[in-house]
Amino acid sequence: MASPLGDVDGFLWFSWVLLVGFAVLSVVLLVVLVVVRALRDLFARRRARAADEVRAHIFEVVMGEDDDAARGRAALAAARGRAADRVEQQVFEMLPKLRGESRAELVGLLMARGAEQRALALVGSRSSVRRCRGAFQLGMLGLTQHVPRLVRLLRDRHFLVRRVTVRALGAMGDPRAVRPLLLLGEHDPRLTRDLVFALDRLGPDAAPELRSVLLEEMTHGDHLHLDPAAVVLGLLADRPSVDVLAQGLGSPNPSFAGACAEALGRIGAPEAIPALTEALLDLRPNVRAGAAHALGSIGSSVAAASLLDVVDEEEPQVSRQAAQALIELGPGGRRMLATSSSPYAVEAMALEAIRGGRS
Amino acid sequence: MARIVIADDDADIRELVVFKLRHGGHDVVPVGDGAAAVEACSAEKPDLVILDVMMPGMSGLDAARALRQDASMDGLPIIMLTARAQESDIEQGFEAGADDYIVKPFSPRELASRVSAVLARSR
Repeated sequence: MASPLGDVDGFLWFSWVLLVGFAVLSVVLLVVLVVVRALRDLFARRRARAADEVRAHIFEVVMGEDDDAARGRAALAAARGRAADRVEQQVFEMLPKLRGESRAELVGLLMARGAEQRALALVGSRSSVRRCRGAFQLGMLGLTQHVPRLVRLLRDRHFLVRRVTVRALGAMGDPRAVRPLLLLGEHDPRLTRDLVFALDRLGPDAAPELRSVLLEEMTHGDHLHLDPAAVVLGLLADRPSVDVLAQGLGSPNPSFAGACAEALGRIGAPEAIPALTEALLDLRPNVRAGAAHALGSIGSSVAAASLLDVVDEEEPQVSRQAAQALIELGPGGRRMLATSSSPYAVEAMALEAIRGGRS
Repeated sequence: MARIVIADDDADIRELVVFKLRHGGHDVVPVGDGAAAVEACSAEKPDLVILDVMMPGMSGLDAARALRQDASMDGLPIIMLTARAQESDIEQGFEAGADDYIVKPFSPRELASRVSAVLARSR
């Protein structure tokens, strides 16, 4: 039979071994943790240093004098392996921030490194992340011969790929992208903001195509996908679009009619005043409010009496917009507004007084 | 040589501008937001300030208004550097007190020329 004292000794011995074991394990874990952290910091510092070097060379290419630019170009062209990947990544990140000769320099550098073929390979990849990267890179390189390839990518099953492609087409600046982009908007309303951004980025070259789409499409259909076209023509302040936009005020689609009113206001064309004044009588509140806003933006007192009639109507959105429009017409408009008993007239004049204008 | 404050929250843009202007012989003070730009202008008394419009905290427009209200900064030229290129945005910039407006993406050469022109006008 074992003595109780022997059991106590055994227990103490076991506890001591356990304690020492834990202590050793803790020290080992601590050492491993410190080493891992030190290595991680070391690698991060190395990566940051390498990125800084690449960035300095990019700056030399973009902005340096001839000798500096040549040195930077040679350093970037000599990069191989991981360094080459880093160079391409950093140059692609820099491209959206530059234009003119500086941008052309960097695009030339990427082309010389074979970035076009790599971007095309990425676009054809099975990975959606790679397809996004490929679309972005093709857009940044601005090679318009690949517009049809990107247009095909607008039908990609992944939303993010379609979104990046829309922006890439905008960056390319080729008006051939106008119709496919507008068509995409019809099927994918979540992309409306991106579409407007991309179409606006195409710039004035896109305006004739946008006008011709509006003219063709307005004769039939429900005008579902035309809002971005109207909005962008307004953003581009495209004066030749005034007639077609004025026609759009009568569209059966209230959203498109409202977008046309907003665009006419942005263009600021006095020749649109008769159509906009007529639109103040439209049955749809958003069209009346849009027309009132546009008349305020154009700033002609011709429509003042019609705006005053609208201030007194019951629909708050319309009344408020008309009151604001009269304020924008200047002293004459403000005098007319003072005769209205609408609470929105009082509100508009009070706000104007706070802003420092005359009430 | 002029002393120039540049405020932009995008580090790449800030460094591009700093690199280009230092290359042109200017003394450049980079900061990351509008409030820091106003502080830097008080401390450094620059000859010119370049402000991005969209910045966290105090925007470039607010910074421009604050600088215009400060009598000690009277006549300080302000250039707005921004991605917002609509006519109304440009109008807002000028109303806030900007002397010139550069739209992003920008050309570093154009920036240097605009800086020289604004500095020449202010002297």
